[in-house]
Amino acid sequence: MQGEAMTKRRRGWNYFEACRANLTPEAKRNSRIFTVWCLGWALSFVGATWLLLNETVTAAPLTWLLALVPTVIGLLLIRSYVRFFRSADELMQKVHLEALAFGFGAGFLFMTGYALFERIGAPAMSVSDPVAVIAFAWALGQLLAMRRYS
Amino acid sequence: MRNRLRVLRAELGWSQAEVAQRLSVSRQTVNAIENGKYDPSLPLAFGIARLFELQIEDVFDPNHSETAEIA
Repeated sequence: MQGEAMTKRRRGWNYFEACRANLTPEAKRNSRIFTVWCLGWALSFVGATWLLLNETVTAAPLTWLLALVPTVIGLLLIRSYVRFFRSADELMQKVHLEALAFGFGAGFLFMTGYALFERIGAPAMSVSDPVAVIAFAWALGQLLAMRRYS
Repeated sequence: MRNRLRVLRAELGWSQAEVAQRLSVSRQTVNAIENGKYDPSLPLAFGIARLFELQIEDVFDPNHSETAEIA
């Protein structure tokens, strides 16, 4: 017990170690599945955007299908996240709830705040821009919440 | 809320990971409870008390909670 405390003091706070210690075996497995879906969604989003921007695919039904792919993968991504969330223990659920609140708040503020800057000459915001803010704030929220309870 | 989890665990020679496994929670949860950084839910608090075959008040001290301090 004393050893554990000493090891923690010696090493300092380690994000990756905290992530590992924060998860039950089932949540760890679901977290890996969620990560795979995240990568899948990111790749499909970038791929679909690239193909549509470069007009590699132009036939109408195919372009609609291509545009739909990231959304379908996104739905599966959400399902995997909900599964992960439900399998996590109560502390991890609290961490993720705080992170989601942080991400949602940051996204809301960015969208409403930036709309005012657009009116005074700031470059027009793309619909997908807040996604980056939400994702970054969500990750930062996780980091802060995990640190708080470590 | 102050608790005796660390002491009770030490008496039985259990590691945090062992207690976590018995309670089906992560080691971090046990660590956070021991350090007073996280107050467990009622079902988990009962689970902890049951694990050490004690009453809930024998593990957790309600006189050292934030609610008690506000009141």
